[in-house]
Amino acid sequence: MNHDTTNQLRLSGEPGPDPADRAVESALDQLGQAERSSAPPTLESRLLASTQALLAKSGAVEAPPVIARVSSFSWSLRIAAAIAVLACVGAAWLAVRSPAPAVATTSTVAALEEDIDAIITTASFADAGFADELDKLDADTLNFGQSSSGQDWLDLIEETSL
Amino acid sequence: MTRVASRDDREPDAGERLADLLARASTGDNDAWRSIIDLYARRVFALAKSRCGDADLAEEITQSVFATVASTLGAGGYTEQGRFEPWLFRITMNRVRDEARRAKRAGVSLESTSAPILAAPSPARGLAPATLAKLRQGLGELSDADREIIELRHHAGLSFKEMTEMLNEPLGTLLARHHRALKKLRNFLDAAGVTSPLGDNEATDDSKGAGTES
Repeated sequence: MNHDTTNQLRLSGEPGPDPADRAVESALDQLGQAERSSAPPTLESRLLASTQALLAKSGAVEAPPVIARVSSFSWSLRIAAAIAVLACVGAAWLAVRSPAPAVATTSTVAALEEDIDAIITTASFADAGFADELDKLDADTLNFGQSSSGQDWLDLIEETSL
Repeated sequence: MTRVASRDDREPDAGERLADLLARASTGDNDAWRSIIDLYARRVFALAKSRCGDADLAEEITQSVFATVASTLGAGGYTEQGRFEPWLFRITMNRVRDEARRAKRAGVSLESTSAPILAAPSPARGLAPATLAKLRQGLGELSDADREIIELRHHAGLSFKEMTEMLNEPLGTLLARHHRALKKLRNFLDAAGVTSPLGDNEATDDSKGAGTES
């Protein structure tokens, strides 16, 4: 009954299987056969019905779409990670800089105001000086015109060129 | 009639045929999957039923085992290297253990449900139902390790070589354990008055067994 040659693996000189053991083995074979036969006649068809869809469903899942989904998911993760890193860096920068800006802004505005005042003052000084210079230039021009009104310009040019 | 391939009726090219069936089933070939179910469903069922003693629960376990196999095959998660049967029956034993743990948590003994099966008539030829019932009872008296060897061998139809792959035990250890289990069973049957399970005293067994089971 038992055709499994592994059963005959015995050391040389070792007695063969006890006939009583063989009888028990044979009885167990029949018990196993009885258990297999006791399965409902529709066992296979029910198994097929319940697992067929599962097999087809699993088989229908192709690798590339899964890889694509994983890939796009991976890119989404990378973008999200980059945003998170930038946000963290920004937050850290703000945290480090946050006490200074209030003072800095105030001092910057004050300095800017001072600069503007200085520029305005300088401009006013410049404007004042420029006007004086214009008046002086105007006066010099007038004096020069009066002093040179009687002079021969050709003689003057000749003298200058010499 | 469904063909049940066990160690007793394997063909020389059974391995190649099985590899072909598994390869086709993994691509969604329903005929191949049907053939695999025909080959193994009853062996899985017999192992589960012997362990848990309940036909409905055994069928449930069988469904779960084949659902796992179908999912794994369909997903391309299994490559046949001549170890399908050890893998299949390892899944079965794991499911049986899960059920045993669940029953234990619920305070129900799986063995306690086996009483109707002990008295159930058996279609097996040659042995009286009472003798089969005694054998089942004797199995229940074995240690888990010894019983596992007997059930894998005689219910699931595994060879010793396949059992070494499944259990990661040396061949000599399994042979010794099997021999020891047979001896214990023989002693149990002797003590129960079943002197020869295959012998001439089947009529006696019937009368004794009927009295015992009732």
